[in-house]
Amino acid sequence: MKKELKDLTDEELIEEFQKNNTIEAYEILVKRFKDPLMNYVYRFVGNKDVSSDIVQDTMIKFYLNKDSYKSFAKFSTWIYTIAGNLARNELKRRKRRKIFSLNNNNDDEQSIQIEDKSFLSPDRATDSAISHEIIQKALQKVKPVYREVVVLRDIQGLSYEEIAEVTGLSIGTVKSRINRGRKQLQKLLKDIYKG
Amino acid sequence: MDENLYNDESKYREIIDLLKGLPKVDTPENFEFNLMTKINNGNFGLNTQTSGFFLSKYLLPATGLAVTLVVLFFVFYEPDSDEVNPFLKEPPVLNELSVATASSPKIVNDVIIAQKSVPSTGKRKNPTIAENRKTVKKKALRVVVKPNDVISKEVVELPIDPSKSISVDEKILEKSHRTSTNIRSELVGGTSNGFGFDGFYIREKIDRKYLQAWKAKLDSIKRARRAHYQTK
Repeated sequence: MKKELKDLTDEELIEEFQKNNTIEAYEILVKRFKDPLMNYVYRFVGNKDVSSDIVQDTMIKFYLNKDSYKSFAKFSTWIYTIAGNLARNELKRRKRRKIFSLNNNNDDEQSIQIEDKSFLSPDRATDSAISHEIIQKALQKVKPVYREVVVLRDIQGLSYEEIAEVTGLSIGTVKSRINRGRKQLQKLLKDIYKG
Repeated sequence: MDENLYNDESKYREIIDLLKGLPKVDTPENFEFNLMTKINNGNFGLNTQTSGFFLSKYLLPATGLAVTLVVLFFVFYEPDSDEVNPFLKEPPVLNELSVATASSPKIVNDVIIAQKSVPSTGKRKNPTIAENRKTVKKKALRVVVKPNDVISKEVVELPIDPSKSISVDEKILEKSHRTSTNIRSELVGGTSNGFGFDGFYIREKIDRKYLQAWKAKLDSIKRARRAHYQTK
């Protein structure tokens, strides 16, 4: 009895898409990965519209370069790698724009100082929406090389091996970067979790 | 052991919990529709690629490099110190020039003793005669002491332009038949090879008595010199 497409694993779906160019297999993979990728890219880049564009570009790249996927790798790490590369390019571009721009007022990352005590009044900090916003702002202040691995590990729940595959780093480097990222984040968020 | 060194999750448990507690961010509702529309239309232009990518990546560094090179060229360029501005250099004196070009072993006196020119007929019937007259080179005698103490005289050609010089002897004896119109035609028409405009000048009428007095002086000097050399 032939399995339905929706019951296939990611690797089986991509194989189906590669061999028979089955657009339904592609659509199922898009459905499965669009939200996890959006969450990852948003926590990494910090802007919803840009993140949505990056995820869309990731899916287009996946559609156009389906044959570059090799079956020995996990599909999830392959698609995360594409999204991560695009997100990193976006951050580089943003950094370049920041260097050449004379006016950086539009950059909302700079608008809130995390360690500003007057801003973090206890009653406001308890509000979950605000605390989530503060965590997101603090995350954006962590160096991108540390932020990427922290997001992949602590938000997306990927294993160290998967993160090493996505980022192209050794497992040791991944672990040390995760710890450094967490340390930076702890310093930035000490007023929240101690309160 | 290594794992414990890096995998210090208990130390950062609160941070990890905070991050895990963050709400999941989903794609917009029309995400799939937009994506499939793009794919069906073959519109694969990536959203995150900007048109200024090439400019920022290649053109800006190249422009910066070019500007730096130009600035460095002007900062470190030193003009050749041997070069002399021709406008600031004094032209060589005519006498020095003639001495330098003469091939005598030792010149003790470069005073012009006599001037000789090819006698002109004074008539301008044949144009070739007039041409010859223009190309006449003034000649002078030079006293030269050779290594064996023999004194001799050498004829030296002087680079005197006949159109710009005047022979006092010829003038007094009225051998020169040049008229003012001739000079003017040379000046305007540029018929002479070494044409050079030296500026306007006022033509004065020559006083014959004045010229005769000068001629007498010059002749006296010549005679005295000749006598001096003969006694030696």
